[in-house]
Amino acid sequence: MKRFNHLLLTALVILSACRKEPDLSDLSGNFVVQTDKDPAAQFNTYKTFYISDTVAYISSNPKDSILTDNTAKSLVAQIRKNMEARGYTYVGRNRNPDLGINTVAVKDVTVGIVYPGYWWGYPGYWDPWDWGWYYPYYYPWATTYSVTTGSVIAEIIDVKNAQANQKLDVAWTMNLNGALGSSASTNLQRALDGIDQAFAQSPYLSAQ
Amino acid sequence: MKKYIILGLLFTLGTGSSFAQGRINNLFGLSWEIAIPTNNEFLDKTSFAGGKAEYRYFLKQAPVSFGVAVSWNSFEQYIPTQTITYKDGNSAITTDMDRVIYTVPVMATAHYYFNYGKKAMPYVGLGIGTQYAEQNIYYNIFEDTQNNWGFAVRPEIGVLIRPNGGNWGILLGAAYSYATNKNDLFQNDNLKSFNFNIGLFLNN
Repeated sequence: MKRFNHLLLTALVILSACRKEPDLSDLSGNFVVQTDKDPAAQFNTYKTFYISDTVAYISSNPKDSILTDNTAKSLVAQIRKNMEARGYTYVGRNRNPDLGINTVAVKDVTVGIVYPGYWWGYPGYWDPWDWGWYYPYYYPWATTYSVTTGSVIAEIIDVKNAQANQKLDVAWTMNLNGALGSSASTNLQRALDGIDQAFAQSPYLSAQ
Repeated sequence: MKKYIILGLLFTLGTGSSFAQGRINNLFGLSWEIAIPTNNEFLDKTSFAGGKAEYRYFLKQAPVSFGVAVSWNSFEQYIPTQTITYKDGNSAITTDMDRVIYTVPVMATAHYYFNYGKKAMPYVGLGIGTQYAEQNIYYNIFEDTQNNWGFAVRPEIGVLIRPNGGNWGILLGAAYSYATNKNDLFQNDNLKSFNFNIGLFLNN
């Protein structure tokens, strides 16, 4: 009886650790697209906008501050294209635009270390119920991994009412977040797709 | 008078011994468990990755047992890319995601048996206890987690089958599980499922 109890207790302890690891292989690599608007903003009261060719850039290198290369130009061009499709007209900075648009790109690197005996669990799949023993994956040696995350942020600012409000109100923001892969062109394409999606999920953003 | 006493004794002993025949004192069971979530905004995909371990102590005078049961179930569902709006339509987020629930109900149980002592003993029972639940969303490289405890209740029916009438058998059960674990992100107030388990037991 006593031996029985021991056996059962052991089995219970082992089995209660049974848990299926999530299978994350279906997740697309697309950026997560978030948009927020000022509830009081009325987008049909604006007609013109200005967006700079320069993208502010924040990364782990403290010397990075702006992007002016083709990547920056592509991002800016995509935002401009979407704004114009919504009925807004691009004007130069000195022509009193109603809206001003800031663009920021962020690049962050996260590094981790996996110790022996552990499994970092990304990605993973485990199917235990075969009435046999099953061993979870684990690395018998230490290994490192690094994930680079990127963000592209755009803010549409109410310049038209700045003097009346005595401040520059942000009317709308777009936040794209996700892992950056090793291919620069894929990363850029994901950002461009994200910009299109940000406008697609903001039907209120229209000059009409 | 003596005749009646002897008859009475024989009757009692007779009943006693047929009750003793095939009687169970303690039962340990281990099952594979399938869980079908019901009425759940978070996910609705059936889980085949679950199990249940239980112990039952049988009373001597009645076909009733009391015991404890622990289950564990892993649910997972991939949700393709969709846009969710919130804050009255002022905010929106677009992403695909993997939704995962892991539950561990721990219950005190009571069961009543029909056909007690025979090779096949159907039963009805009730479990009351607590449930630990983790409800996670994975999207891109991000993770949102909600862990909490809830109150759980589980009525069930099933059958114990002992092919030799001896000290082992097959355990089958069907139950409805209700637990009060919340999910604030999806505004779910509880977790409910239909559970089916099949397994083996040892008894003495």
